Amino acid sequence: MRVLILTWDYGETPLGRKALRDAEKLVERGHLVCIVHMAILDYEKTDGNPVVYGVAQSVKDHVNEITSAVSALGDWARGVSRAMYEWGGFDAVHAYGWRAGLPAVMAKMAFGGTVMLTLDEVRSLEDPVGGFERYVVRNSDVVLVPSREVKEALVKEYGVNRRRVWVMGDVV
Amino acid sequence: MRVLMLSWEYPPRIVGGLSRHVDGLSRSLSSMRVNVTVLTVEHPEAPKRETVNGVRVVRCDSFRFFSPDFISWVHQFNVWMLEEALKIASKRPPDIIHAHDWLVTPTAVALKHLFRRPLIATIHSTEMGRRGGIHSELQRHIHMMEWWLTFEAWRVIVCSSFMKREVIQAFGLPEDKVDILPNAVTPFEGGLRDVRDKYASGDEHLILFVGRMVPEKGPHILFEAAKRVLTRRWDVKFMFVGEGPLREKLMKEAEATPFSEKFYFTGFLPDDELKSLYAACDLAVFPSLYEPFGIVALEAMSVGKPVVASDVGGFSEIIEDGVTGVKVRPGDAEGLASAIERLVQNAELRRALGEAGMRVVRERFSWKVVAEKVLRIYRRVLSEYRRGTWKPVMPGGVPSKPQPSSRRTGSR
Repeated sequence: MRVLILTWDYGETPLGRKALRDAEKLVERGHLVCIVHMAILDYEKTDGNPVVYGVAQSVKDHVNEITSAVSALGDWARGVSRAMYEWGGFDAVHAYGWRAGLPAVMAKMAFGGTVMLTLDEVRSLEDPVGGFERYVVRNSDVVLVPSREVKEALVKEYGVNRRRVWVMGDVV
Repeated sequence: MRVLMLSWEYPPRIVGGLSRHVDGLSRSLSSMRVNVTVLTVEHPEAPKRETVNGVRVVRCDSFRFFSPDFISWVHQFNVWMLEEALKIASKRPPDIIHAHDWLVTPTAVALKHLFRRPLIATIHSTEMGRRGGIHSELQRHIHMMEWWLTFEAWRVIVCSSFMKREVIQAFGLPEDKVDILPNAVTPFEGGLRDVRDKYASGDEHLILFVGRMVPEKGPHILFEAAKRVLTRRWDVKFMFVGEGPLREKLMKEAEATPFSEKFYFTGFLPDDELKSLYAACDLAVFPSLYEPFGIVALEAMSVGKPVVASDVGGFSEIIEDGVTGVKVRPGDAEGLASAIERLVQNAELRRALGEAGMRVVRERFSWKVVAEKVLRIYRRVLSEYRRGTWKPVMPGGVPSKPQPSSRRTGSR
């Protein structure tokens, strides 16, 4: 399979470390993996598997989490477009967290394909960010969560079909 | 040629000159056989999808959930705008993406990269110019969004030499990336209602201000000038058309003067009423402190009305002092009062300035003339684009990377 992984950070936060681990496991199993993540500067690592494209966030002065995430869509598009152009498409796009989920949904709308989303927590809908997270969840084909508790919270808070939510326990 | 025009303002949403600009340009391009789709933000009085004068208009959602502030709302509608754009573009991508102002930057840049199509940006004003500098985190964010749009654009269009200098200075743009294209006005259609009797008696001169009631447009300067004029003569009335934070303040101040019945503050007026007012007034006054272009001056000139405006920004370039209007120093209430009085006293001068202004508008500022220039820019960009190597993604093509590494031996 050819898998495109989108993650805000790559190996720095718990979710970023999860993305890194999953990428390594996919490669071990013989899948072709391309990772696009936010970086301080644009860079690429194209020798071997996984291929990594770091895209720098063009607008770095932000007012809040929403302005940061949405204004990055153009930068994500730069990385996703590069990956699509170089690879000719993917079997699945796997996003880590809602901020990476936005461009994953965007890629699905532009190019088709399947979106998997990994979430480690659920934001309340009273939090303005919760609205974006719910949008990403509803537009993903499968949502991976670390526990039953998070799954139940996701079903309850966002009204998502529980069959699309899979519990994938964390590993150490 | 297929053009996707992005603008948060489009009729019936009229906040400043942007809405009328996008409307006029789209209509004229459409009449030149350009396939134009305008993607804008929903409005309670307009359908989500319609075709107006050959222009396809698509209005995206703006609120699907609560936004804590204006800037978060702008970013929220960009997600829905991008969603609509992807529906349009994934069937058949546009040849050109044309974005107007920073509010649509995330959508515009994302579309450019996803479909690898040239992006053209029109910058109608800058945050730095509007606020006289960058003083807060919010302004810095907006400033950066403006910079980013111009950075990503193939070409940047501005409406005056003043604005060209401003964008080059504010965003460090190379001079040869920026084109100057003036705004234009749509000729008034249909008859204008005679509304003069509603606002002024036969011997009174009606003086009109049109614009957002914000400091940069200078309604407070006109108010000061009006008080000076009114101490010297009573046969004048001042009409302020537009919404904004200064409206209430000036209304209260007007109430406290002995000339309260000489002031009207109408708030926002629909287009037909505004046009009738232009036709009914004796003089139009625009005392802006910052003015990228000043389409209101063209609107007044287009119906043969004399204009008094600050010698600033676009006004300096549109108006020839003493020929097509009168220019005054920005912020000079006494100078403005003198200019108003001079014109009120001289009907012949008013007529001459009005006729000359009307002629200039017809020759230089019609949408046909401006749209032809925009079309030339589109053709030039497309020609450069076609010669280049930056081309659209071909999903489903053969993957060329990565080369399988030695680790690719595990089972699937």
